[in-house]
Amino acid sequence: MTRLQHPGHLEDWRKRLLEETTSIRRTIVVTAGTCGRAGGALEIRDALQAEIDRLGAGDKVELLVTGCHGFCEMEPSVVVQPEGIFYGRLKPADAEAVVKQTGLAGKVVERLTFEIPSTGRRIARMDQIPFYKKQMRLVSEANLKVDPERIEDYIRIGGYRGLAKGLFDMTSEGVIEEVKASGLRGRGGAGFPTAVKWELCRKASGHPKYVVCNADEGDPGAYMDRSLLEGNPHAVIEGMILGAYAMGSAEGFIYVRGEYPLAVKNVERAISQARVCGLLGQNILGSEFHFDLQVVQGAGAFVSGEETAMMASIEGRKAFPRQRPPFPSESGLWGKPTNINNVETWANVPIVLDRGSARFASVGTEKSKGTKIFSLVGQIRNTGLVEVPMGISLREIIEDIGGGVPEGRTLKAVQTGGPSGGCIPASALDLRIDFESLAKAGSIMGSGGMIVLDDRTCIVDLARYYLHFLEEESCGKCVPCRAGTRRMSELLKRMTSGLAEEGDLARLESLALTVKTASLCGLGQTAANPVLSTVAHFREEYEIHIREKRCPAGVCRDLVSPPSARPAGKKERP
Amino acid sequence: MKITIDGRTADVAAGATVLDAARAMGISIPTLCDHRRLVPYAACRICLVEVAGRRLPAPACATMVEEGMTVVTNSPRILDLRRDVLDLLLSEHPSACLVCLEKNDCEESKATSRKTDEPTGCILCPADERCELQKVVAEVGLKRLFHPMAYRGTGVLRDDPFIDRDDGLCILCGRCVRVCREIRGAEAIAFVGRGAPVSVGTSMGKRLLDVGCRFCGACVDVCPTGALAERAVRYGAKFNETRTFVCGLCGQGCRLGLRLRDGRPVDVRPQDGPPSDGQACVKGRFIIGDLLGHPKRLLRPMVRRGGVLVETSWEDALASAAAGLGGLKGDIAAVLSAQDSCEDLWSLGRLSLDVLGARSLHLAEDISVYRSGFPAGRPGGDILAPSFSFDDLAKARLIVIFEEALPLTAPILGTAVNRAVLGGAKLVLVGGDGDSCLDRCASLKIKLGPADAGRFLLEVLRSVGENRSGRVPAGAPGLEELRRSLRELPVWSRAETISAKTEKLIALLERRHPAAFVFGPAFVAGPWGPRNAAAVWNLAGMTGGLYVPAGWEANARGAVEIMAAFGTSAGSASPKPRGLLSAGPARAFVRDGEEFVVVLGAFQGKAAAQADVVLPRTLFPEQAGTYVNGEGRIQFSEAVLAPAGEARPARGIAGELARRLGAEIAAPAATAFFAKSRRGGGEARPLFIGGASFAEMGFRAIPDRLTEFDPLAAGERGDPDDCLGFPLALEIKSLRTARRR
Repeated sequence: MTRLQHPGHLEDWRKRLLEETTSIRRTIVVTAGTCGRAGGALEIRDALQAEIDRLGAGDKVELLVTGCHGFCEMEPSVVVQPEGIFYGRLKPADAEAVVKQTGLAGKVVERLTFEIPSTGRRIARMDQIPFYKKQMRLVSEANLKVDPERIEDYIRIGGYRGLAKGLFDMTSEGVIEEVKASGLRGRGGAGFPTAVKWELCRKASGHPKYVVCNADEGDPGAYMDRSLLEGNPHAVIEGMILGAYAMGSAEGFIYVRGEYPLAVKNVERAISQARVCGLLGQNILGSEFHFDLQVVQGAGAFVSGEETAMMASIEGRKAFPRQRPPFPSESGLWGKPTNINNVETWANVPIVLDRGSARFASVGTEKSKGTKIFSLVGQIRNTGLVEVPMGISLREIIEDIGGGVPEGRTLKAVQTGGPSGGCIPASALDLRIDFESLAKAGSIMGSGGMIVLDDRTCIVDLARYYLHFLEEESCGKCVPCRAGTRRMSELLKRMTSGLAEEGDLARLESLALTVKTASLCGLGQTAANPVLSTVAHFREEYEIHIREKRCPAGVCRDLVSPPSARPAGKKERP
Repeated sequence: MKITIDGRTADVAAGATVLDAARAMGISIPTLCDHRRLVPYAACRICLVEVAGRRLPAPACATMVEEGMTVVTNSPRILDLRRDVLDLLLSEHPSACLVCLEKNDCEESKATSRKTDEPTGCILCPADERCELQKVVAEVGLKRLFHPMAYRGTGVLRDDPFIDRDDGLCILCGRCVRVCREIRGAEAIAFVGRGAPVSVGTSMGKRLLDVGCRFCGACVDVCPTGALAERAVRYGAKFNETRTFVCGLCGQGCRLGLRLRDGRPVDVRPQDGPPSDGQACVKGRFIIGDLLGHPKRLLRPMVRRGGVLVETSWEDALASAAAGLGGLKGDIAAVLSAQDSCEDLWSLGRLSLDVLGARSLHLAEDISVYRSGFPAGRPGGDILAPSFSFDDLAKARLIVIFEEALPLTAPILGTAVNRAVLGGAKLVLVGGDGDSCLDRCASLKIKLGPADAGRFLLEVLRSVGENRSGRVPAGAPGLEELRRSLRELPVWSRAETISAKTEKLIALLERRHPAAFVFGPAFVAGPWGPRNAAAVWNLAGMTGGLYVPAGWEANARGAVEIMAAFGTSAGSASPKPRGLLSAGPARAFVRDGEEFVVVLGAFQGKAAAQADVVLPRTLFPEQAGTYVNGEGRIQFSEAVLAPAGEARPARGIAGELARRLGAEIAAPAATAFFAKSRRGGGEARPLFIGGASFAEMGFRAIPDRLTEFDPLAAGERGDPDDCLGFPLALEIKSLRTARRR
């Protein structure tokens, strides 16, 4: 790593990296994001390395430890390149076969390949596996090619080329125009056109200006940003440098939730490496532009993902939101113009600059361009992170990519957008995924959480879960959210424990409306959604709970087996 | 800009909120968390109104007016929403009495049941009838509550002096937290926890005493409910009259209101308007009553007979005093106090000099902080610092404080500094013991005592005088002489850290404008005093900054003027005079039996114990008087209470003594005390005394001589809590606790 004095240096370095010839014949990619590690990926790595050493095959077979590549259901997994052979649910004892047969001899180990549940057919190549086939991993494919601890890997695949183009071939306004032409919209939930937001910040009066990456990712079940930050932090960094250049900022912050230690580590390391290479700090790539980044850690709150609360936290104060307007682009951190974007949004920016807005805009629908990463979780066979083009149908995601609900169950609904979102019933499965369609269906895109519910999910219990979450995460500043989420949570708990009274549903709906209308920030304003959207589609299920004191899905313990009928000493579910 | 509210259109200034506009138009919107002195918080959601073009209702308190805005405050949707939000709020606050139909009848019969510890309804609450929640409930017209009670109470916290904290009554409006941060700067309380269990508390639940609270009472004053209450009046806080007076316990001159019920004092609340705009400190806010009614208060005249002081009549005591002092033919020293009103000072001074022919006239306190020390013969003579307003300080971009713990000695000045710092000003602290809450906000701390700090300042002056920033006023008199004298001074070499800090301070002085330089008595007392004072004066002049002396006494500036008008410097107190007239604490005076001592005092103490005649005098709330505060603001204070016991105002005593010696003293009108004064904005009375401006006086040469110590004033100095010789922080238990002594 040396300091790059101008864009030519960067290109020379990239060429050198690409032309490196070695005796290495195959690379075994070990996907080791937090999910992989939880499944034992590091033990797999160690076993593979031990096997390579034992066989003395270090000159022919190498390991590449990367971040998460999305197929979390099958972790720990490896992909053997260049053939792209995918092995999942590995155990350390499998290391010998993987290294000897596939790594050295190029043969497929059938028993380790992906098996289609219904037919038993085995598929060796990753790009043929149904989970991957319909995805378009524009942003996340780098996760398979890059060791997040090495900036060289990112450079080799074209990293920072977009930055060089923006900094040297375009003006700041030109960069904004390019992003505008791409149609990129925010990926954090609101879907606000990114270039328009940048322009507001650029035009605002006030100095200095700040750019912020919102990596607080608090929605339960959502972890797309985690995999990007762990697996390819440089993509986010490059995006932020471009944004800072476009808006006239010299200082930026990446606000990462404290519960993501690996992401924090990898981002901080990437920042130092970028500094050494002259990609951050004074005179980036030898230009006149200066910009630097700092990581700020959250401390365990969901509300700090709300942008004004986040800014308070960055300033060192308690993460209470404040009234908007004024918006951050006008008055943000320390009263200065501030632009906040989500991790995935920032990661899309280098792609727009490098490949061009036209190519970016060729993917997606008329109003929603590009791809979106969803965390496909819940009652689904292929749990994981999927990146799909906007406009793909929900059915394709659930059935083709996700493999459908488990054997013997029926799909009930898909919950999108986290606690701020809503449920899409099974009848609407042909919905095309984009910002407008989801809103019309009574939900939101949100940050990308997609929770699949089947006939053994109780909708009332789901609403209870979400409201309990919101009650605990409410910051407590404003009356409607503080008292309202607690009261709504209480009402739902009554419904799920057989204590509800006639009229409770009406009370819940009326209260939900007050909380929605009167709350100070987005947390409260959307706290009603779990209730209102589920009642809209599943009213009868609520009424059965209230009137008949029965849970059709068989989930609510107190209704399925009343406390008096249970054996003594059993622990209660929270 | 034009705004339409409820169908009526009006013009409002830019920068106004919808709430401001509504109030100007006479339209009432209920609020709870809003407060005119605090940044809008928008948390209670009671003031939500419909704004055309916005999807959701907006809080009137935090919504800026825009051209052509259309607002509706009373549609059915808004009225319902208001009731719903209030209903939710009341689910966290004991609401039994708020919507009870028997409320009025109950009031009459349950008056004494209020003495319970944890209020469960208005009847039992210390804020009953003053509670803003009661007003809002009445205005919104809430008659029924739909949500079950989720009572928050964990009991009343009583670990601290003065203030009871009852979390059960708190509606989390945040005003207390905000005033403690935005105005006072102590940040002793904050929101603790998250969600419904949020409460206002201290770091790790410690006592207020342990988290830097100064007990200024601002939080109690802004609390809309009874959550924060003054313990002393918890059960009897209702009042029906307010009388305003000026506090005499320090140099800030806060306007206070004594609240009475049927003529009996209840409590004291700070009043709006300059100079203190609703703020005070622990003394003015909480201990006025303790002060006036202290057991050690002198209530009757006393005369020493047979070696023992015995109580006697005024006739007897006055005759004794007149005879005793009159017979000494001027071999008398007189001591006055800078805490005395202008009228008292004048009368006592005239008595001492003209009638008694006293050899020397002294002030008990060192007020060199207000003397410019220019040699006589210069225009303005031996006068004194220019006037300023605390608000001027709030606009400074750089504030340098020398050796002074402002929250203790000049609290309102401290709030102005806090406002400046919150607005982005940089704070530099030179010296000091590091205990002030301002310490946290300092960008640069230079740990030097006053002796060394002066030398350090001269280095800074030398550098600033080179005029790199181009701001030094070239034409001002004395600049060249000053530069010459600075060049001739030997370079003061100190440790590396100090020179690094010198560089930092010089850089700040060049970049930030305007600056303000604040210093107190400790900085300009002692042999280095005149040098330090000159250095600060010159620095302020060179940078176009504010020169801010922070004296400790209620009328230090008035005293300086009056003493100068008497045309006397201290006079000499040696050899020891045979008589002493002490209206101020003559701390260093030690009797050896031969002298005749007359003491005008308010409290028992060393001085009174040594006296031959003790004449009890009134304290500031018990007498009318004119005082000049640290800004130079002339304020007239009414008497708001009858004197305790047989105490009389000092000027009355002076007049009586003079009469018995065959003279008449006529005190002139207050305004005539001051040779130069200036009018403030259309007032009938001049508001500020004139002082020398920098343009008139120019630069000062740096003196090298030692000050002459006033032996009668030297000795015990350094108690900002002194009241005419009475150490309040030792004698009043609650204050002693609050001061942690």
